Amino acid sequence: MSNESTPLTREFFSAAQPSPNAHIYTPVVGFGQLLFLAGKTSAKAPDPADVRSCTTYVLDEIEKELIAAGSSMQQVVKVTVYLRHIEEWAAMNEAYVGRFGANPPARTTIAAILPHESRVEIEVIAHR
Amino acid sequence: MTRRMLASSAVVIGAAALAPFARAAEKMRKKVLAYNPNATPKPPYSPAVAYGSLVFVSGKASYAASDPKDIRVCTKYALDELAKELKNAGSSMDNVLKVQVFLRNIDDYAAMNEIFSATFVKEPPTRTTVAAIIPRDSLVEIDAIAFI
Repeated sequence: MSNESTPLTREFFSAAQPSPNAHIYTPVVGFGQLLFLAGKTSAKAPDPADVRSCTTYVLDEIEKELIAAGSSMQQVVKVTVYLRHIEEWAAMNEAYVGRFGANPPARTTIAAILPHESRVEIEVIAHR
Repeated sequence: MTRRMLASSAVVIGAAALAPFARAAEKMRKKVLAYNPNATPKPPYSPAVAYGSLVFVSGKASYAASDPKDIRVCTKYALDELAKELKNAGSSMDNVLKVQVFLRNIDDYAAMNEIFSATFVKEPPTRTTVAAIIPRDSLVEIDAIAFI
């Protein structure tokens, strides 16, 4: 609850305490009602060679951050999905559909080369 | 006794004064939008999502452009699709804040720019451009954040 005349400042959140790589980036930065999440990669997924396992793992990690910051998957407004292989788009979608609730966020999907040889990386903007 | 009563009154009055702001914050919800709500198959994303006075638009790719192999035709198509989505959301190309441009071929940068700068003439938005592999062999995909 902020008084309208108080200037907005950034707030910082991390599901993992302490936040790994805290000197490089913050997992979640809040500004007013908006939350900007750092991308989550899939290198630590149960099966890092399977895009469905990777997508589910990445979305689970995002969900943890959103909850720790007082938000939820239903409050995500914009998603960017980065795939290592564009051909895995349909398989990624299978694991993606329904994860954000009945009214899915806006999304852009592209293929690119990702850190740690990840097959999927997802970043989101959400609201509180 | 008196001080405690005063303190608890102050808390009650303070909470009541802040209540309208709290209610306003609780009411803000995202709104999903689409200029073509009957697209089939139903995509796993919303073409646009509004939140307060911001609107986030899903990437518009160029695979359905009249000449999907011509970067200028593709760029114009993607920007026209973006304009339709923004208009449907009560926004416009004049209100775009941030654009991401994804190109299949980084060498298409200059040609894409010709069309882009002819569209965003006055006070263009911020922009990041990279080359990437885009769904359905598209030459370009463009997304945007704008205000309503």
